[in-house]
Amino acid sequence: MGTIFKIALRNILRHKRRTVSSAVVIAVGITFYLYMDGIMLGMDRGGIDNVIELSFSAITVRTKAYESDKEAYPLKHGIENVSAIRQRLSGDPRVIGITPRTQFLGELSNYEKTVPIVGIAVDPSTDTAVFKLKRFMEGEYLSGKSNEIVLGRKLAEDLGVDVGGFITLYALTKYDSRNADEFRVVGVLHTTDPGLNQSTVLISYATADEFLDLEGLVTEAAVALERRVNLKDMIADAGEVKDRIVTSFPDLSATTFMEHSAAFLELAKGKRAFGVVFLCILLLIAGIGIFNTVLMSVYERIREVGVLRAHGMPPSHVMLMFAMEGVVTGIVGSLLGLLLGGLITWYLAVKGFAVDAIYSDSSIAGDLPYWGTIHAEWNIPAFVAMFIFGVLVAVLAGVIPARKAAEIAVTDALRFV
Amino acid sequence: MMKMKFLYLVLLATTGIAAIDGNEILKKMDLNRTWKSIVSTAKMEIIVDDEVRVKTMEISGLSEGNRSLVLFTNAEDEGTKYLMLGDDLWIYFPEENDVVKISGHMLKEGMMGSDVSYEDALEADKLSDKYDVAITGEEAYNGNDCHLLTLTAKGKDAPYFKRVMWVEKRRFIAWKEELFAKSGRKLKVAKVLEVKEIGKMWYPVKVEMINTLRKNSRTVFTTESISLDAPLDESMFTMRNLRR
Repeated sequence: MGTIFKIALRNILRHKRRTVSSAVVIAVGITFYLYMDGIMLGMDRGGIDNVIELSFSAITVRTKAYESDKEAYPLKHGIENVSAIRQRLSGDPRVIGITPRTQFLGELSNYEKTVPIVGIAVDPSTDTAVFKLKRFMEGEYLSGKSNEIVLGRKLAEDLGVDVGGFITLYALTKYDSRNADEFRVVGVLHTTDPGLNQSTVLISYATADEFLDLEGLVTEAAVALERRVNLKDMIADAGEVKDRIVTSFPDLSATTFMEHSAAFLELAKGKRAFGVVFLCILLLIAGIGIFNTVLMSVYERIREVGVLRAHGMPPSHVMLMFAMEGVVTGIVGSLLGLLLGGLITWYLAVKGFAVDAIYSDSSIAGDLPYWGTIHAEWNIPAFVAMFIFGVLVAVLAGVIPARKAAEIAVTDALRFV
Repeated sequence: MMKMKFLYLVLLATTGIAAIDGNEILKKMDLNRTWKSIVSTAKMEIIVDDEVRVKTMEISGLSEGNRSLVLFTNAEDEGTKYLMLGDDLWIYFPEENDVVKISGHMLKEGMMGSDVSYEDALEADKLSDKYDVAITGEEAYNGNDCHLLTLTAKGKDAPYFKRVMWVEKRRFIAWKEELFAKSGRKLKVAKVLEVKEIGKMWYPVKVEMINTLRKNSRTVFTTESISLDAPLDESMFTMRNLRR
């Protein structure tokens, strides 16, 4: 066994070019796989993080009546007591913030044209604990003074207004009476969510109570949870907190970010299925490359096999020798692939990948929650799987042709040209 | 004696005019808007800058239950139908053979991108039910002597907080109307361009609506033919008929 391994090792060193080319093919295949896998996982997580931090929160609580009519953004079916929810969840270390919100439809006008918007009445003192919008703010956040407004950058550009300017907001009150008033733009949102940039305005409850006759109406409570590195833990947390809410408040409906993102996740699933097929093709090409390289080396060495057989080496030992060469080549190639793949993943995890730069002006951008800079995600099981795959392919690519070579009669092998 | 008689007549005439208070005017105006049923064909011109989009339609309506059916007949929207039952509106799209329900909120928005909301076009509420009225002056408008009325919402659910109307003294036609938000901002201006006498009513057959929040945007709604209070089959105003 030791002798065979020594012969295999000597063969590897003797045929440096062949060994290197086989290892490089394995390394390239694995590197590509790890790169693609990291990016795809990063896109999924980045999209979900954006949903949680910018537009939806981890859990949104509404009344059941509102939930069934939510597409119309009705100014009715309010949550009676947000502080009761806050009290119920107090002491849960996973819950880091709860804020009331009331969404409404309306239009912004600069008296030249009108643009439809989705407005959100917020409590500035608690909203920032749940949503990270301040991070993307030009100007200031709402202070609670009357008739202040924050709007998306695209909206501001469309209407030719900037921080410090004035704009007219039109909407229906809670009683379906039309109202319009002038607002001072205190902040412009340039987030990684095109939907927010294109159609969202924020006003404070102090203003909305007067402007929309809200009379304290709160249509939803947004709950923020501690961010978990592992998405599965985050999903589990959201599920458990949701259960606590709906058990304590049977009239309310709670939706987790996963339920809210169902369409996106379906899309992500489809994308991953496509990705897996793509990666399988990539690996198949890599496998054929390796197989071909090793096959060539085996056929080049049939006379050598004949000599070894003539010296009494049984076919099984010949096969073992080639298998060992494959294992060593596979290990070298796989390690190289893991190293390169790891370096790329590390770089993209730290520096990120600017998705919005690719399709910020695309019409599809509003439909897909892939925004801003996506950071690659580490997928350790994929690293392990790729190492095993690399070694396995190299071994199979060596053993199959070696088996054929070992079966050739010694005299034929010696005469083989 | 003659002098006394003259004074009496002046007094009578003065008290007679004063007797027509704002509510009386509203009631008379409401008479011009009150019908049991309506069948009409109409044209809506949506004018934005230099672009004009024309929608034509056939309208049937019953005031009882605030029911109406609108069938669009212009090439672009041919076969599209609106069915309004009370506060609910359904739209039938023939190409998709599908019906979409429009929520109460959307009824307040511009119909087919126009400056006329579904509610403006299809409302059958009496003004006197939703507004307090005051006569705030007199003014001639397009050669017609008009009362200047200011209507203020009685409750929070009136479509507009305040309405100012130029109402002709003789026929009680609201030739011009300005619609205001609670904040005091002017939202729309409606002008009657043409009226038609139908029985005892003066019906506005050509109306221009200007949305003051959009520059160079106005909608002209022209009723081309109209028949009031003719018997209508109630089965017209059903979901089944909408899909037919």
